[in-house]
Amino acid sequence: MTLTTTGTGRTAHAAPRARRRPVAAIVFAALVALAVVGPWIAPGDPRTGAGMPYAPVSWEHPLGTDYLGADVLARVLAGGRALVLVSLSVLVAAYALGLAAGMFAAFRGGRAGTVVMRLADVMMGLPPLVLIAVVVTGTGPGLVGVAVAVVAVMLPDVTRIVRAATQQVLAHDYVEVAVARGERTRSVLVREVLPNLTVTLAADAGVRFVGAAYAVATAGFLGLGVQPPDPDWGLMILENRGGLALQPLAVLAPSLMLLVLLLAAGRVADGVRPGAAAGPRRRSRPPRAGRLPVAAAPGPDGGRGPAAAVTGLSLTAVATGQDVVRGVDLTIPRGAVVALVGPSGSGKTSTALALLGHVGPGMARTAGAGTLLGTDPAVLTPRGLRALRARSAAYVAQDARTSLPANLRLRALLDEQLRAAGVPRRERAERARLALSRVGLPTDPAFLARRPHRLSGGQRQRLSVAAALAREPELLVLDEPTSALDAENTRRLLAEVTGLCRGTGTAVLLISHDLESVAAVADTVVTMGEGRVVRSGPPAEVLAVTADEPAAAEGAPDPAGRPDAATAAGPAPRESTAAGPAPRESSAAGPVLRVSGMGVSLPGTGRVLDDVSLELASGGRLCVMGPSGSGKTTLLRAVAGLAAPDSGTVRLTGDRLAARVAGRTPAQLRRMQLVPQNPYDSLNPRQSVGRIVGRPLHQFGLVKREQAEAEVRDLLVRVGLSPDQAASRPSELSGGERQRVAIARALAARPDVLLCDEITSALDRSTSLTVLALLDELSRGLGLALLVVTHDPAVPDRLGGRVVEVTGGRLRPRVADSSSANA
Amino acid sequence: MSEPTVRPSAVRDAPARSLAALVARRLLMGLLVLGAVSLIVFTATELAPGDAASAAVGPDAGPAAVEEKRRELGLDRPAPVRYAEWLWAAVRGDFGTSYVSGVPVSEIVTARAGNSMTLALVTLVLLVPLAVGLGVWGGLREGSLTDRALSAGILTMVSIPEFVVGSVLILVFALHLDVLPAVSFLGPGASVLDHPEILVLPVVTLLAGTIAHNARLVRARVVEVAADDAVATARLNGVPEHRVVLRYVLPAALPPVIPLLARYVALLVGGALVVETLFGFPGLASVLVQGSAGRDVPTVQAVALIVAAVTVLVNLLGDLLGIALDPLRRVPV
Repeated sequence: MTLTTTGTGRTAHAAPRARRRPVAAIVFAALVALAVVGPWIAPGDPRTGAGMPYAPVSWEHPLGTDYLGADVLARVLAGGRALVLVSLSVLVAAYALGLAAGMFAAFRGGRAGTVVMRLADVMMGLPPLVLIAVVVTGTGPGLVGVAVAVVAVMLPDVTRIVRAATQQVLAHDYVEVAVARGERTRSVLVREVLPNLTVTLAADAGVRFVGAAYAVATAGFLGLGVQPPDPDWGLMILENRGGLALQPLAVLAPSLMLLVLLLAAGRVADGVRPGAAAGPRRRSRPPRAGRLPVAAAPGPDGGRGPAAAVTGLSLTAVATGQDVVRGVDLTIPRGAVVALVGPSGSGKTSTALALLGHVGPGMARTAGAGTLLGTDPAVLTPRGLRALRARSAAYVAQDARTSLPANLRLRALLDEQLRAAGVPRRERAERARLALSRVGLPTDPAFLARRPHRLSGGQRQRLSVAAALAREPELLVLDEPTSALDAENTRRLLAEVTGLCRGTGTAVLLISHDLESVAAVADTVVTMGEGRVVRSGPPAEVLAVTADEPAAAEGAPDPAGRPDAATAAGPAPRESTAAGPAPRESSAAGPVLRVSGMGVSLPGTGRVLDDVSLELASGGRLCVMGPSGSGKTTLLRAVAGLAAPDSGTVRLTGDRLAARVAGRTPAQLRRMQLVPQNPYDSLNPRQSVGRIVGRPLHQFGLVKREQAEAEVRDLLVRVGLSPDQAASRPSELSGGERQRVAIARALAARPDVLLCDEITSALDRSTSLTVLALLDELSRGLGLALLVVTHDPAVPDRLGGRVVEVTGGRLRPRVADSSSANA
Repeated sequence: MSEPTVRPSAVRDAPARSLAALVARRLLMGLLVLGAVSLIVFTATELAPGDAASAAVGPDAGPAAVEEKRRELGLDRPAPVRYAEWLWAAVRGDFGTSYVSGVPVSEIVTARAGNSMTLALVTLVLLVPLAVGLGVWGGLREGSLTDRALSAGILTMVSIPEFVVGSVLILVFALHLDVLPAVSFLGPGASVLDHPEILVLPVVTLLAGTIAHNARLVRARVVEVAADDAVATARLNGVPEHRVVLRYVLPAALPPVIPLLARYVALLVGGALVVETLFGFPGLASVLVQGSAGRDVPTVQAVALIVAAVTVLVNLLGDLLGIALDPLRRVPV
């Protein structure tokens, strides 16, 4: 989640784009039609001049005559057909060739991609009209040469756009899943890639039609295209420009036709551009009445009143009309540490920003009043509000990867915020150094000369915190300040920051999804769910209450930290055997999956895995744990045949599998299915849920066509969804529902082994627990073996089975600790 | 469409390369591109060598005369040999003799190149500050009335061909108001700089199309950067707006735009073809158009090569400037 797409960001882009340019579309269509039929309805013969040259307007010649005495009206009517038809043919030819070449180059990668890029470079050296002039010198003046040249001009660009768009699509997990399932290249390109290119290409095609028509018309004007006496709009302007003073209509009439054609096409093109039709972004402005001038913005007012508060705050997403925040009351007393806790999408960030007087784009405040350091932010001028924040309120944004400016060195970055806060120049460096050392960052000049992209995720978060601390604000808002830190560093940083703030009397609003870590440092804990305040009170009280109640619906607040599996699971959507006896660890039939001596190297990274061996019994479970970057996902990809290992073998019930997907038989591919990490990325947004889940059934020929629908509904029910959701698009589903769909798709192939890649990492705690419960129950019922990769200790706690750890590229049994439920 | 996950390796390795190595690499690439362009130009113009000969001798000559002319022009020898000879001569500044006028092409070119250069430079000097200023101005006010008016104006200007704009300008300023010349007539040996008034309408016509393209690019980039979390965070922390623009938005927005702006210089060349034809401006581009219509192969080859060399050079400079100014040294692709 980023600042600008708070809460509703994920669904906003999927909202249907209304076609808002009917007038332009109608004009364009009419003009194309007129140009095509024009030669038939033109009065007389447009090719020959019978009258006096440059004759003025008369009954006989409604638009006068041209330099040869030909009727201008007739020539205008007849002069557009070649332009329109040639432009359209050029477009079709360039797209047909560009689509094939671009998709091929993206899919093959490597050299094919390089060739495409180099061709584009070459074409860049030859401006379009120069190329037309060159080609026409060879072919002789005429439309053929012009058309060939314009296709040549457009082709590298179209290919490049197709290639880039295809590469983007190929990077999505849903393509990976299809490839892992053994879909053929053509099927992947046509089913998964092409539908996702249409929006990009539709927008692009409009712009490109304008470009083609522009080039063809200009070639006509330069005398390189249509040759006299044939009529052509561009040519008419060239021919008659000598008589501009005598008979301007002979130039103006074809000019106007060209102008309207190109403008209408441009408007239509702009209308289908992704996002452009969503309408002007509405800016929510504070009410104008009663705004205070800058000078009157009250400064720090001692200890009177809370540092910040909102009452009855409601925020609505403009695009969907959905309430993101509903009637929230939140008070941050001076000097107090308040923790705001809740799952993602519960409205925490939106509430915090509203507290600072900011309503994000796409959002409108529908109710509520606020106070920020003794002032109502809504009555301040933007500049007054800015000045108030600069002096007294610091904000640390959630995503430290994007919230630090890439172009500023750390020294300048810290200096900029201190300068805004009015700290004198000579004090700034010292204050910055002090703040850096407090969050445990180096303070040497070399470090300060770095730019943010040279820092690790954790360092960036600490840097953001340091920048805020250095200003010694009265109010500090920290949005998930420790998400990139491990448990120990989180505890230390939170303790340090809150300790400091208590010392200086700074009020802190601490946003988090992890109740346990913030409860230790907060005076008050407020939990949110679905835009409402669920509970609020001292940490011990809130902890006690939430631990008792079941974490029923998705989106409910996080249950207390990470208690043992039995209580944390809560009621799964269906009756579960809960964490009963551990699943079978071995079976008489021997392992269903055996990996031996596998080593994998990645280009650019080197050796990632070394001599990895593992066994998975039929119906058994194996959790592979390890920090990010340790090679867990690479292991799964190698087992699935997506990454080729340097050494080692993968056996499926004794059959040795080929290293890559391409070498495996359909039966082998069917028996092993992949559930990727991110449910927001693993479902093709252009396909319905039913189509997504049904595809493996068709691909492996598991059911007859007419039974597929019933089977899909059955699968959806089995994963706890409604059968009616088969018609939904992924964008209409929540994260947990999406992950269920991904599981249903894997089950459709009737596999023996599920490869699960960090399936809980994109979900909040309560959702991930219900998904784990589902997986547990399904695999018991179907005798499925699970190979699970995760960094989340809750996963092995919930699923049981053996746990191994990847360290230094090797697998080791995990050192048992109290929280793991070893069998 | 959601952003694909960034593969960290794509970003990481770029800064390691030194600027000098990059310059050398780009120069080499530019030379290779020029080589490829020369091949395209040669192949395209020599598609029908017999026609070039028949064009040179005129329509009334018999087949024997055409054959004679072909031998005289050396068109009967194999194409690779002729390409090598042509390229070698061209590198030394010898572009052969015009089929049409019989004058050495290099003479025609040198007589006209100065005028075209003047036209391009004057346009460029006005274009860059205007386009960047308009783009930044609109981009910072995204969604406001001024921005929407500006965007609509830009969109309109982008779709209007130069020859339409130019025709209307002639009609208004030369014929109705009679304040500027409609035709850029120069006596033999005269320079454009002796008669600056003839530059006005051609420059305005060129600007009309190119400002729109360039301002659009700048605006889009400014809008993108202004929506960054980094900018929002700075504002939420009270950094004043002028500092936000100067320190956060512009340094992040402009470097990646520079190579793209350079790319649009190619459009300026296309526009120059049109403008020189429309106003009868004594420049290089009108030589190209006339040569192409008259199938004067040596002339077309020469002008195309020169234009390509300038385009490649400008693109090269734009790329290098963009990389030099980009803190992350991201190499544009």
